[in-house]
Amino acid sequence: MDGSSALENLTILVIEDDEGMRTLVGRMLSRLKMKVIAAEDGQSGLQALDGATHSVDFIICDWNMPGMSGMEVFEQVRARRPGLPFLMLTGRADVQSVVSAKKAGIAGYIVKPISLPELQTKLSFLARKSA
Amino acid sequence: MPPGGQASERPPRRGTTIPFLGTEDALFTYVDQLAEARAGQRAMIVHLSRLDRSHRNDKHLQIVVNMLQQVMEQYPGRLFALGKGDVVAICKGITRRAFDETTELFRYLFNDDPLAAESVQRADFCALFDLEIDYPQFQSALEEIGETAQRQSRAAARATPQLETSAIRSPRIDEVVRALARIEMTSLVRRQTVWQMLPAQRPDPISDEIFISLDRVRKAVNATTELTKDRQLLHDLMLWLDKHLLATVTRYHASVMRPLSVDIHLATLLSPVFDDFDENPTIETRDRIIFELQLAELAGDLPGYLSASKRLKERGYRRCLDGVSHQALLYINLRRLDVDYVKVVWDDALLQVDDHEMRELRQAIADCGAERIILTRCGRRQAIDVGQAMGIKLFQGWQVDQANRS
Repeated sequence: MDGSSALENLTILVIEDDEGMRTLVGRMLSRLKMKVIAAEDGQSGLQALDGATHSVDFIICDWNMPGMSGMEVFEQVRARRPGLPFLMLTGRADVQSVVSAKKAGIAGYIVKPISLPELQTKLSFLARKSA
Repeated sequence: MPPGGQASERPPRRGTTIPFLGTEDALFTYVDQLAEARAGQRAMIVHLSRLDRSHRNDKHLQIVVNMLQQVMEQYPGRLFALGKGDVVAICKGITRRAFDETTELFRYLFNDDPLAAESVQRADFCALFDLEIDYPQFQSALEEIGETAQRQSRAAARATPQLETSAIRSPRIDEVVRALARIEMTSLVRRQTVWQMLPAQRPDPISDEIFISLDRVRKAVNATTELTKDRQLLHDLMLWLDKHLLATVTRYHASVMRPLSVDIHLATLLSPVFDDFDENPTIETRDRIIFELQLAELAGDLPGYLSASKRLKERGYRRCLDGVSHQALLYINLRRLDVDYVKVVWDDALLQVDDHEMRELRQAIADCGAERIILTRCGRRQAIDVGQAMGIKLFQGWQVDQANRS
């Protein structure tokens, strides 16, 4: 797949409470030959970020999760690792949500349902931007 | 064909669902009408068609439409989603700043697309027009869109497979198809909403049926052509129009607000045309497509009907049996037919039913499941009152559209 080599062997942390979506995203990322760390909520995602043996290159995080929301996770990540590419995964496509994400400084915003080409394009863009 | 005879042509209220289908013609008409009333009008064209392929799908079209609808809740205006994926918003009183902010949100959402990047000229992706000043430029931009759409339409017409050769075929079908290929087919597609209407509650739209009006086809082809008198021609034409309806469903089903229903012929469902269509919707979106089959077709080919119905169910589509009279309702075991919806045709004779007949009808509707019955072709206000007295909750027809959209 075009452009997948830029993402190959990079490590991505997937924080998503929905098991089906987590598995789906994980599979897509594996097809891009990325190393995937999966977490089912914000708290365990942050623990995985702190304790990861490989340096995490990207985070993809669901907005709506019980406990810590995607926006709260983003704030915590920014405090720990400013500049770490963060892709918000969401079903929200209303003006207010997009404004909030943009104002917060979230680098990538992707609306469900997602496709592999779209995910790849977004991640490749984030990779180029952070390079 | 149209359950209520004709679709409502009335403009939508502010904040209600905005027309989504066949909008090129509506757009050009609207812009012509604006020529003498341009004060305070601003327009935006979002050229999704110019973005990368990964951003040119129904999901992204829906996102843009949703966001513009929210912006337009504050201002009177119209929104047009065009066939090739571009969106045009025209609002009165909207500030340049509000449009600029919306543009910036689109750039943010599509920030991985080279054309939407900040460094690229604004006009390439989102073009803004102050119609008091830029009206000629706006017209030129629309003409360009229209010419592109016509080119695509002609290309699609050339690419459209010829009608499957059958043993019997009307000699006039090629002539009619050639005439149809010269016009913008989306302008013939009409829409009618099915509303849930409960006593003392606001009507709630639950699905939209799309159909092609034969009357419009006749006018478009040639006013003197009597399509309905040549049965073979009519049959061939119906199959050809089914293809175009399926193409419309493919294009819009995942992006419109409500499920789409489409009146289709059994022969189409059992043909390779349907196999081709079936490759497009995802498993998740098939549930948003309702196929309507006529009771007369069931009666004419029960094994074919059962086979098609079973297949539709297995593939995840919803099914509706259309054309059921209130008399037939009493004699058909609709539960055994296993359909998701049943369309009962309004008949003025229902105004005359006595108490005994009304009790029987109520029982038949309850047996079938009142939530599945749609009273269709409601051409008068009393149809809703009588339907509700029968226990019906879902209604369709030009009178219903007119009442609920006014």
